[in-house]
Amino acid sequence: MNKLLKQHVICPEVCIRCYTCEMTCPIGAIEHDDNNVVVNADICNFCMECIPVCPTGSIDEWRVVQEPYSLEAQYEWMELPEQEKFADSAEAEDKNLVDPVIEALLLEAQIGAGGKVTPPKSASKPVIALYGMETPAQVVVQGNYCLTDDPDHDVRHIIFNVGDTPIPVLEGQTIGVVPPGTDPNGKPHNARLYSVSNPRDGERPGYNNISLTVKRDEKGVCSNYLCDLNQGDVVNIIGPFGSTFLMPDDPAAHLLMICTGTGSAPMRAFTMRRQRAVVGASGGMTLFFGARSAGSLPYFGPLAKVPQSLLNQHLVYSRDETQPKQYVQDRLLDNIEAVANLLINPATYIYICGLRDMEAGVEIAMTKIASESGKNWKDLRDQMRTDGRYHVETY
Amino acid sequence: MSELINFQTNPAMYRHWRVEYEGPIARLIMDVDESAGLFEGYELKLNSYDLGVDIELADAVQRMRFEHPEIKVVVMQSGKDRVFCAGANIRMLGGADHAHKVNFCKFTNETRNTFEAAELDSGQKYIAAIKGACAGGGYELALACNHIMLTDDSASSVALPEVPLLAVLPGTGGLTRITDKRKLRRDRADVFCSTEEGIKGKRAQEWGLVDEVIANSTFDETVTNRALEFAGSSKKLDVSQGITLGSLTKSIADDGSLSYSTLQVSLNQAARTATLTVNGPDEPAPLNMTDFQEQGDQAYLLRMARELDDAILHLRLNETKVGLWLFRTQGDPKLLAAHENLLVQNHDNWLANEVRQYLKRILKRIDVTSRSMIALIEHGSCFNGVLSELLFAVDRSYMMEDEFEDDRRPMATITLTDDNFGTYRMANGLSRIETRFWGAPNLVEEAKKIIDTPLEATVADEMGLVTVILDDIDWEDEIRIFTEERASFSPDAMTGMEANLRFVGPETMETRIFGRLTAWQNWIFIRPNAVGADGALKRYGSGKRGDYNMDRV
Amino acid sequence: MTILDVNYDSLIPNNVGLSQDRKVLKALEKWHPGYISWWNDLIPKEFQESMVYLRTAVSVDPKGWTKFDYVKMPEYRWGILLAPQKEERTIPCGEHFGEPAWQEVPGEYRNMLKRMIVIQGDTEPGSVEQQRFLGLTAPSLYDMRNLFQVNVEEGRHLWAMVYLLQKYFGKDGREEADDMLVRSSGSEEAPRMLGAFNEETPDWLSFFMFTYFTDRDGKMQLESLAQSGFDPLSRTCRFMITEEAHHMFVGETGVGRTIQATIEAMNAHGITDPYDINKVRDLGVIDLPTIQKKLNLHYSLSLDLFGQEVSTNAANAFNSGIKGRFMEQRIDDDHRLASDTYIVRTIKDSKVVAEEVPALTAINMRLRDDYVRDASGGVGRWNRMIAKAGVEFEMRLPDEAFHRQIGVFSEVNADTEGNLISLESWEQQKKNWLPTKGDGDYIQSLMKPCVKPGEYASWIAPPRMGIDNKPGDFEYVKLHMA
Repeated sequence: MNKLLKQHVICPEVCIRCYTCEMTCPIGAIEHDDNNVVVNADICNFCMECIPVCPTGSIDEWRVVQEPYSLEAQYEWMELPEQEKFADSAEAEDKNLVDPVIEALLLEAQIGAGGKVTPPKSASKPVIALYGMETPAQVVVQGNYCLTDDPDHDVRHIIFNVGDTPIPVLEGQTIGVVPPGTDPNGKPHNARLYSVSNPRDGERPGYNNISLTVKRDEKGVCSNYLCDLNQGDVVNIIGPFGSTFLMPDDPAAHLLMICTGTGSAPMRAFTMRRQRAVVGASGGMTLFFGARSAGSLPYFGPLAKVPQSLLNQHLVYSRDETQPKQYVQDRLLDNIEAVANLLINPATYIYICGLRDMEAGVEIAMTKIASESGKNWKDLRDQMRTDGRYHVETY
Repeated sequence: MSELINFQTNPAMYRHWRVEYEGPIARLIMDVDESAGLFEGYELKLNSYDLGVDIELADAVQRMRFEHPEIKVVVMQSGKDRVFCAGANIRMLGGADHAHKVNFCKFTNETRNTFEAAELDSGQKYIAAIKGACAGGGYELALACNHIMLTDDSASSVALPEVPLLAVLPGTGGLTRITDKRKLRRDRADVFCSTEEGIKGKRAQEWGLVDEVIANSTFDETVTNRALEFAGSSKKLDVSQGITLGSLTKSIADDGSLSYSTLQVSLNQAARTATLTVNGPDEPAPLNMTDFQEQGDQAYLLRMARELDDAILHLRLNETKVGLWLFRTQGDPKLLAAHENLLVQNHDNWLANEVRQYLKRILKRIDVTSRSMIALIEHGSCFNGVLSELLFAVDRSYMMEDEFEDDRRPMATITLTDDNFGTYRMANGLSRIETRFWGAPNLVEEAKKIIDTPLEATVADEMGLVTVILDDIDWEDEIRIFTEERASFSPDAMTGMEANLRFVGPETMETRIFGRLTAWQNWIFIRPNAVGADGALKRYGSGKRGDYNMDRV
Repeated sequence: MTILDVNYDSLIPNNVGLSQDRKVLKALEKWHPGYISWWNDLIPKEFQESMVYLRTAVSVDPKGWTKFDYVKMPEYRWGILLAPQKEERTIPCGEHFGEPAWQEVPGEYRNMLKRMIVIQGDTEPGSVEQQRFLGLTAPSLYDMRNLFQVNVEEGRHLWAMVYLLQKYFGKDGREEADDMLVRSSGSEEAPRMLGAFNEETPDWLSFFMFTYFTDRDGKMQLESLAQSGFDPLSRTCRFMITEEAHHMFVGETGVGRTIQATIEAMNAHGITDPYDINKVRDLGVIDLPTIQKKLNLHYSLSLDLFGQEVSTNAANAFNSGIKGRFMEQRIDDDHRLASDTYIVRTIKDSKVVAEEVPALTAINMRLRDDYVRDASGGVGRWNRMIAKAGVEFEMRLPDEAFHRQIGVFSEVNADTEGNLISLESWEQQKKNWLPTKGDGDYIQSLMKPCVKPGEYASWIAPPRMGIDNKPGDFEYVKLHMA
């Protein structure tokens, strides 16, 4: 089926042509003629900067479409076209922006990047917020597997069958899960965000399914709900979200991935995407993956099957009785020369995902490593981030 | 003309003048070295002069006063046969750019005024002893002397041939002095100024163009006798010993900035500004005039005067793009006052007088300088007496008000002294305070009441002594904006505006020379009839007359 | 003065490091109390005490200037906010084209710049003064809130201009800032500088027309100043424009809602002839021809604000890079206009003719042309409403020659089509084109306050959308009942 897109449009009847949105848009996606002010669907990245500045509210309009309305078509509008009905889609009537709560969650997660994050240049264009709180997508649990051998670390790999509902996710994006029921105040629970762990063409290529990596948190409403799911259960999800923590499509890019625990989900998606999409030589990938022990390291088994030539793996354990206690930052320093070479390589893309605790340690290690080749880590990092080559999501 | 013009010289370096001393009489002999023009492209034939010749003359006149106070009469004469002086060199004028011509004329005018005033100011009387042709600038030299003697050899004449010959004016005071000083009737002046060959013999005397016409055979003797006679009747006190004017200590940086012992001139070529910082004395005042004379050219006030004079001339001629001068001072105003007081108390001492007259001349130079000028009265400054006079010479003054953050210098003040009320008169015959408060003599009287009292900004402002007072919040910005604005205006309009505003009230011969005569001359200097390819100055010597556009403008 | 203890950074939202800027602080200490007392004397007391649901700009990012909350107007936090500095911005027009934009006032253009800022600044408090009594006759709390929003933002725009004067223009600038509070709209002794800002705003339709037409001139002027090579002015105006949009909104929807009420009432009562004025007026709405007359008046007054069609001052301002054209960066030319020409309509031998003049001297004209285009958009949208309702009537912008006091057309009389007519004919017909006293009296008779949430006066339709996604019956103003 054709991919459905969400398109940002402006209501010509309410708009007063003040062009404030046009002046506010940071990427020049809005333009006007003598008749209308319109949004260029090829450029708009749903950053939402234009929404609050509109004095009329006419800016806050959205259509889900198969083919975006062209600029020419929009210039001709005297009023907004009705939302098209799609036979094969769920009710696509869609009034959702990225919920501010979700946006705040995402921003919070990416704060470790140290500034405004840019997606990789060659990343595919993500679709964002196709499903919101009022119109979540309903998906069916296809499987729920325990990934760990550690009772204190119950990490699940949960696969959803999305059926005919289009949920165009990219590796690195997140989706929100809305646990059923209400909180003690009687309000519906907020959504929780999880990185998808499958590549864009599905957990299995060609199958409409997506997967999440979820660690049970004793007190977590949502994680308990997810970890306890049975096959056939129906789950409300929203999203997708995230427009920067994305992988470059450029096969020559080298991905340096540093993660702990469920932070491995996007790394898994990246790795699988590489395996499926890149035939022949690639820029390579390096993984530093920290866990308490092999038993609590998600995807330990599958990882063993990924050839080192594709993915240079460093599995690091902090509670392994057979080895001295080690954290990812220690291992980074053990490989100082190799990492230093990666840092100065303009093809290197860094992804850090996992518990917030790891951030400080990685930062120190990187500072040391960068100075090894005479670089200031902060400058280097800021440059990489501006280039779309440095991404952090921690929680 | 990219080479710097140096105004410093001394008798050992002269190429064009000799001075002979016989008791109270000096002979200032013009004997121009044809081949020693300041620039390439012309020969200084027939005792014609260029700026270089005039720089030597100015030096000689200056030394006459400081180094030879025993001299009471100066005889200006030619060292060549059959020519006294043919005036400014025409080929030099034809080749010079406009700015140089204008500056050249201004400097020569100032030099003429200096020796003309020598009789009154210093008791040194100048006699022009004319043998041979005396034309144009040559006659203007004579006109500036106090007594003109012409030989009656049926060839020697005085003439102002500029108009018929060169299509310019006798602009070094000639046109003004024949009427205002020599009292020539205006129709006769018209005849004289349009007669190329000039006027000889008895008629020259009859018309008042010269004071005496003397038979050629007795000319030299009569001149000598007349000089002795003048010396005998001179009221100038006998002074046996002068002082020596040594060379100045001066260095020029790559960016054109100048450094003297009492004066720093820093140039900002991009902003087209020069900041002249006069440093007050750091040594105690001389005990008395004997002490002063012993210090000689190193005495603070004389040293400062010479350095300032040199800097002004240097900037005028060599930094024509630097259109805005900012005068600052730094030092102890009380100490400066002590130095000044010594001269005030001994104003009848010959040297005290010469220094004060010299300061007067420098201040006048500032008055007629075609630059925008402002004074910055900063904390730590020493605007007392003569330096306060700077405030009234410049176009605007800005004064610091209240304390400035992180500035521990003593609060800015202005102190007026008696000297501000008549010692340093301007060309219009008024003190600068009178000029400033023209039409409001009560304000002059008010100002007299606060003589010797240091005034801080608010009082100075209330009394109208400064243009603007600014506190530390506004100071920097306002001055930056002013300087940028000023730098953006047309230099011509600025020169014109400032020259008009600086002089109020009465006209004198001097103001007429620097105003009316100079303005007309400078206008003619840009007209094609004079300076165009086929203009008279360019065609001079080619046998062809200028090709004139006959429209009256 | 106790104001010294005030923490200016929290009192005055700003992104200019106000608390570190001794110079501006010192100036503001003197100016601020005067401003507050100006404000207090201006608006009727009961409104000063009322809680108004206002938007306050606290920073310049899109989310920071759209904070809505209840606030008493005298406690409104007038901020000093400049759009973020664009790196390596260059001068967009004139002889300095392409040189780095000035971060300080270039001394050369100080006076021209100052004059321009003073004129712009003077209009801001002027309009607040003109509108001071409108609150008493507000057709709804929603409209009252919009009025006050416009007022406080005009106040903020005054602040913005005053900041520039105090920050960059030294002593003179401070004096000019003080004078802004001395001049007063309609005053005999010290009127506001531009004519249109000395006319009273007698009723709400005038207010809507004013915000639609006259504030649009302000917007165009700000757009041009946003193109200034003097970067702080450019940044200030860029941010002001974003607020100005709200004023455009109030005007366009205000007139639109007035028309809406009229055509709805006409349809409800089966009146088809829009010119059946008495019948329409009997319904307590304003007949379309009278709305057209109001439009004629305000449009023509606003055209006068653009000054002389051919202007040396405007040419100088453009050429020196201190004021650009509307959307200068989008214009595809050399941005110097050294040899370009522009068509200007003028009068020759009692006829209106088009004349080619050097483009540099026609800067005002070009901006006015852009304005006319911009202003005609809303008129078209009103007409669509009228057409949709099936009423046969079209609002039209009168010809530029109509009813002019400034420029080439000020010397002739012209009808709304631009035909030149005799003075006699003008005197006879002007009642058909401009509001008469009778029209004014009628409109005045409708100006009765409606101050219950959700209640709207008969002559105006409720808005399609509320402010800040609030419903139409939201209590936009919590009136203080003394």
